[in-house]
Amino acid sequence: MKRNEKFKLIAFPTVVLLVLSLLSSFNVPTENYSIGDENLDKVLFDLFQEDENTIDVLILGDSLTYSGISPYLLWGEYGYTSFVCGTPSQMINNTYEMLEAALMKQSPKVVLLETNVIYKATQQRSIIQSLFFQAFPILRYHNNWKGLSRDDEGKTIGETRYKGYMLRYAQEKGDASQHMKPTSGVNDVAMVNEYYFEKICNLCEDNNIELIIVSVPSIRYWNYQNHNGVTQLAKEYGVKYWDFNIDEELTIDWSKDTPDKGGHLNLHGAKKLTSRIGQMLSTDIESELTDHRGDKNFDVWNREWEEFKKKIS
Amino acid sequence: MTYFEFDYLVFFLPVLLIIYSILPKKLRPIALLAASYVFFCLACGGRLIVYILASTFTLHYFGLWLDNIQTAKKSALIDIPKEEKKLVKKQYDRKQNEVVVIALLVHIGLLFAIKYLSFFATNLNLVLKNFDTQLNITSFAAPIGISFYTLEAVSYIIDVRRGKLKADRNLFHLALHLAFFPQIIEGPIARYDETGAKLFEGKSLEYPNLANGFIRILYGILKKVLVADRLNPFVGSVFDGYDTYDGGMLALGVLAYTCQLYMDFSGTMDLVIGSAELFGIKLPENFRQPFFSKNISDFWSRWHITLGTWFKDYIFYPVSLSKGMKKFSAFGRKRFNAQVGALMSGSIALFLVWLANGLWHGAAWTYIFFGMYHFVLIVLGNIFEPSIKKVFEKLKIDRNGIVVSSLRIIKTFFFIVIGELFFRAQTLDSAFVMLKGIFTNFTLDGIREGQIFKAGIDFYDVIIVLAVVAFVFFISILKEKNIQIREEFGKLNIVVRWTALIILIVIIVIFGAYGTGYAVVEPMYANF
Repeated sequence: MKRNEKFKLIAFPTVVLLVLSLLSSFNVPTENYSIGDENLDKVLFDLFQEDENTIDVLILGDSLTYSGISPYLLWGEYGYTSFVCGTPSQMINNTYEMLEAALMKQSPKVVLLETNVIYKATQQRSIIQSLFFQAFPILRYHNNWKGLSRDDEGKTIGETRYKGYMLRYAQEKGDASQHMKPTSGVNDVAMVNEYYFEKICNLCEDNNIELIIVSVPSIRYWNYQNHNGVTQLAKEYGVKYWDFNIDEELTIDWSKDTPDKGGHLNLHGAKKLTSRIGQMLSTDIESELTDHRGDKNFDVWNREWEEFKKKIS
Repeated sequence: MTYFEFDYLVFFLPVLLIIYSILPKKLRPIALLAASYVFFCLACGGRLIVYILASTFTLHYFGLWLDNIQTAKKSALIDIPKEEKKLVKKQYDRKQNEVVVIALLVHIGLLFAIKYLSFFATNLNLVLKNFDTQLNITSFAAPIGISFYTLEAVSYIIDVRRGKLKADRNLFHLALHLAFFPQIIEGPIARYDETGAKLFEGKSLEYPNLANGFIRILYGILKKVLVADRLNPFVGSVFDGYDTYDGGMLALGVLAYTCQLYMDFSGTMDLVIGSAELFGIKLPENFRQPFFSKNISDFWSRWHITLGTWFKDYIFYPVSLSKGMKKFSAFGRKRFNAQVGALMSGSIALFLVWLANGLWHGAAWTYIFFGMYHFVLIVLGNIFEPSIKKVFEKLKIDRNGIVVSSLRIIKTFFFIVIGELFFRAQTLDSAFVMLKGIFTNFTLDGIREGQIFKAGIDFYDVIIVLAVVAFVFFISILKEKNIQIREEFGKLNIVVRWTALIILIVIIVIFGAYGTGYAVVEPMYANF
């Protein structure tokens, strides 16, 4: 090969990478922040409506979070402010992006990460892809040009959300006879998932956030092999792990507390779980959360809590 | 890992090119073989590699066995009386045929067991239910590309039998031919004498090949990532929820699927042919502007070309030129006329081709129906072609004139799209319901109400799809006129060339249907 051909083989990719870098520099997240997915963006939009730096507990994960944990119930019982950044079938690379975006406007003391995302296959199929996406953010946010819907109709995901929580009243009995039978089996966490989990840990550490990984009770979506895998992961990264599927202080009645045969929790189940989470947040964590109920700056929470109470009574 | 993933494009290919370029010539094919096996394991899991290894070993030794018989035959025919030669030939030919039969049973048998056993058992069980008996069949995980490399294996052994090529004594040559990573997942189905032998040349990397291969890869990514993957949610919505849409939406859905399938498959072919071209290896083309076809036969000479030529060479010609068919054809000529005689034997051969074509795509009645649908269209075309030709001649209308040609293209396109409806539908029943809906409930109300924008696609997506389709159409016109686009492009000033390529890359990066908000869409033909 001639010398000038070799030069061109190096020069062209270099120019391409420079162009990608240039495009990425114009793609810095702003007020109109967008991850590029309608569901994720709408939850972020809702979070961005909260007053800045008022959320103490951020909850990340998939549908198990927004079915099982209610920020208003947590407020009502403990006065802690929280928000559920839960979206259907959330993938851990998006969880990381959600957290990164959320930290633009909020400074939570605690992040609860629901464990389903740790096992869910991601769109970013490998660490190489993830590294490339991080080096060139234009690849992550290339859809930003589409913009985020700002009208009232576009605010919520489709069902009404209460600080990210979705009310579910239905009851459909689930069979928990085989649920969480102890085993020594371990389900491995995919490399790229662990890569993002590590990034979430590092992001929390950099921002003085206590990260706690939690497993919301679910017959269908959780099992002991996953529990063992996450236990190992939590130990390796030095984070607390609360598996509410085997919490003796929490008794889920699978004949009444689920709307879909044990896949998720309904309002009954969410009340129990949220209360238990509140209890553990008040006693079992290193951070100290503040009861804001007497704080005038949080009057809107008190008002909204009264409305929520009427709604669910 | 598959072709459109970052790992393949920014890691696997570049690293392999670097390793390939620094290795001595003798070791380069080994690098390609090792990379191919690594790719195979990453694509479908390490354990399934045992299938392709087993196919390679058995095929190699079947080939050597045939070669030994052929060598023995030559020796045996030396210095024997003429009257004995025929008998000796017959004996050795029978031995060779036995070897070929065993080889086919092994390879096609394996394909059948993995891909078709469940389907036939399920259908047989419907009959056995009446006798209170059921078959219990275990399903096997299918290794990626088995439908493709099995056809390559079959063509190799038959070509050795026919004397078209000599069995290769080097196992690694055959191994690379079957496992070569650009073609392992979706073809093209290469012949050993055309491609296999060239894989082991260990050619040096050359700038023109790298440049042209890169452009071809980019073009493939443009088609798949901007159009095919973008249309996927809309197509899925229409075909999954067909009973909620009117005829207009159904027609749009089927049209979108045809576009998706073409962009996905031909885009993948651009990428794999481009990948091979980087190493100076020329793979056969699989598409030649298929939507410019004027009839169904023409379409199948332009769509999935290597599959069509494989069926032609290994099913159609052997069947239609067999002694039995010749006799049948002669009977037809005598009883009716020459045209009918030719049609009779040709149609039987065509029936087998299209049955095989349908089944090759998958073990489902929709695919079998798809094959038979095209069989009927082709036979009807063959039957009426002479009459139609006469009519045009009498009316003194030029069939190749622009107006008639355009009408023929539109007519052919219409039939193709109907065929794709059956190809994509979940079941035959749903396909017929959709077809009925298109013709009996055709209205634009659903489209006017914007139902399309509630079915997984937005206004911007439509604009992007139309823009890229227009660009691909423009490129297709140039190719149809035999304009060597990449050659002409190569003549432009380097600044113009690089600017154009960078703009194309930026368009792919910004408007591609990948990442958050988009589901990963595997190359569609990887499922076959």
